[in-house]
Amino acid sequence: MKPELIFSVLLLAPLVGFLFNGLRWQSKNYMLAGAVATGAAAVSFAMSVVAVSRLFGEGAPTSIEANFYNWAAMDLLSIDVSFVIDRISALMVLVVTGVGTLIHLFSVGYMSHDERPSKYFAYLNLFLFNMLLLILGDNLLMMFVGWEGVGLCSYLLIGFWFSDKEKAAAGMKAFVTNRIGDAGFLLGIFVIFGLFGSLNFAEIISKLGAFSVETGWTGPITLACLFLFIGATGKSAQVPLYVWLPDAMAGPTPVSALIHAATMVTAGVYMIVRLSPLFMLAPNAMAVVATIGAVTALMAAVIGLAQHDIKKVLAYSTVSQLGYMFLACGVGAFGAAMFHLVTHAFFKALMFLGSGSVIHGMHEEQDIRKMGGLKKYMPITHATFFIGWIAIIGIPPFAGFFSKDEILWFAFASERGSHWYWLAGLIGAATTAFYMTRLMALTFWGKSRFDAHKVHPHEAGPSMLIPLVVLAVLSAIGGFMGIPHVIGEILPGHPGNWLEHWLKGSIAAVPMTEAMKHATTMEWILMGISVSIAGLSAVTAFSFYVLDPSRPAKFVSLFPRLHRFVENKLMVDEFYGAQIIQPLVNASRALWAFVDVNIIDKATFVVGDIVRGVGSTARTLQTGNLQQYALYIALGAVAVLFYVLK
Amino acid sequence: MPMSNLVDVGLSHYLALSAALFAIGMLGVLMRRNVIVMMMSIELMLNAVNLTFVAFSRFRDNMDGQAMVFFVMTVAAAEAAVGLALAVTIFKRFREVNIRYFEHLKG
Repeated sequence: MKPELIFSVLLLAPLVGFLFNGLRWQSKNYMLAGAVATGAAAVSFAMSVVAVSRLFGEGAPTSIEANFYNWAAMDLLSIDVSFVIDRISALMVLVVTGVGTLIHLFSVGYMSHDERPSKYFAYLNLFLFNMLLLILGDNLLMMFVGWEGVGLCSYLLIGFWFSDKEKAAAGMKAFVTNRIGDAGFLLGIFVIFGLFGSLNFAEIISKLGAFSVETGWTGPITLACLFLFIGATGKSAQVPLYVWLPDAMAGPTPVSALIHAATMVTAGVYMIVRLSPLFMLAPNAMAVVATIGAVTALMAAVIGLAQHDIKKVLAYSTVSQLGYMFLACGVGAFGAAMFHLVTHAFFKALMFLGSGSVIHGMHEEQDIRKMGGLKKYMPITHATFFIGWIAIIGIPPFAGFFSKDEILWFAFASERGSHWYWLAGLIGAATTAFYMTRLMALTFWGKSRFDAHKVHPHEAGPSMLIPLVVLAVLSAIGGFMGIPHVIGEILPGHPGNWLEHWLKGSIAAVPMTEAMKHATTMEWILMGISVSIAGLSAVTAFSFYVLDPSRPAKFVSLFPRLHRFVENKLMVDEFYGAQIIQPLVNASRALWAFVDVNIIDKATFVVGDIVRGVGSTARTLQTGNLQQYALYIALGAVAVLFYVLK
Repeated sequence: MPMSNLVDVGLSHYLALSAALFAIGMLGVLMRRNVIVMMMSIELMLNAVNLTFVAFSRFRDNMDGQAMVFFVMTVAAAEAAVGLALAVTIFKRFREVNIRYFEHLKG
């Protein structure tokens, strides 16, 4: 198959699915809508596999490209609608279409009782199309188009049940918060265009040789990177713009799994990895990325400790894990960021879908305080969720262990890293282990806290269980694509770090300090520390919530105010409301009451009055009296004659 | 043929007569209220113009002016037909042909 054909089918399949379901949006036939949408996603996945398989083997190209047409050709700026699958986007496209297909399949069961399934699947397909634009576009503008498109779909799907005011508001919050980030992204694009005269990724990177590493804060590359990172903080929910993601849980649960855990929110990480050689030239910008990432990882994990909504816990966990990815980017471990992106997509999609299964089985109950003991009602959901749980808390040999440990190791060992980043990551990991264990315990273990006469939890149907099982398998084995060298050496057959090898040359290499290049013992020690701390933390949580369920209440009563502070999400929303939104509203109100009413309105009224006055004077000329008109004509003719003959 | 006892009639005489006729016609259009009389006045104006054409044609030895007169007469005939039709309609409605009834056409 020619590359053009591959890309056409890959991109257009979800678009066709969108049109099919979008045009018959009133239909309630969820089976047909779901089948078409899932089929479209599956076609995309198949095409991705075909495309990526071209990159394997001896003498295989490092990328396949297709240029469809020239979108805009101006003097300086020429934008092509062209796409590329290289070693970075190959990973992304497989994850997005693969996990995407599974989530579409899950949705068929989950949305079977919904009022508007066709509309839902249309949006889901549209999201997939835009996400593919974002991933495959070979220049920043195509990426931006997809970037905005996924933002729109995210808004539509968060507010899918828009008759509930709170859910509609959550959609708007996501949209507005993302606008702030997108403005930064646009500015970054402008700076990059000014610097390189091109928006094409390959061209930008090929021109970097003429630049040297910037030391200050105001260099053009540093500025570009910081602006782009602002865009990433919006889309990928980092401090200070992360506030929209927890609220985004108002959308249907599969949407949370697809958009707000596995794919869209990782777009910021992907963008930075794409431009990794550029970021390497701006150490200060990278330090900002790493610091924000570390702060986010820690802060979101702490907030996650005291949430009661099963999806909110997972949402803060997502924010925190995205923080790890940015921490990795910031210390120069772009490969580790991609690795964690992929494994996180597996286990977090798994857990979100698991929570969807729980919510579905519990008849829309989301409060984990009203669950408990679900293990015996939902054995398969429990088993798959269990795998997600040990994957995220980093128990070897499950996926999260490899990727999170790689990030922690590079945060420690990279030239751009520091012990503090490592420590923040470690505490974050311990916190993660605690809140995830708490979530497991309150949901699945211990005694049931619901009224068994009223609520009858039940296991979901096959369309929901198949994705869970597949994702559980991926979460279990996904980590083997990036086995660290120290472990590979002692294993039989000495498996290498496949992912590192795969991405070598496509992304900037990790700037390891000399001392750490061969510090095998150190790596073992750090690995041991992080695994044992996470394990200890999980055991503590287990003892808290399963062995002695009265202990948490006693424990938090020691410092009730701190607990309430964490429970209220560190009051960040309140802080933004008081410090940013309220002053903005007040200023707008003042501008409206004074500037608008007294100056702008008045000015237009005066103009209107003048026009009206002139009009009412002039209309006396037009009486409808024929002879008066004839007189005007005659007088006019006389005037003309006088002028001509004078 | 002896011509000396006659006043030598030149171009300016024709033009003066024409101007006088035109002015009379115009005053008629502007001042009379009867549609029929107004149309007659218009006819007078048109013919004043015709007279100018013919006079110029005669004194400049150029037939273009006379040809033009045919056009004017044709248009005048058409105009009279339309105008009379309007006048008849107005008369049927109001039993009078006063120009002010046309004001009812105002939107």
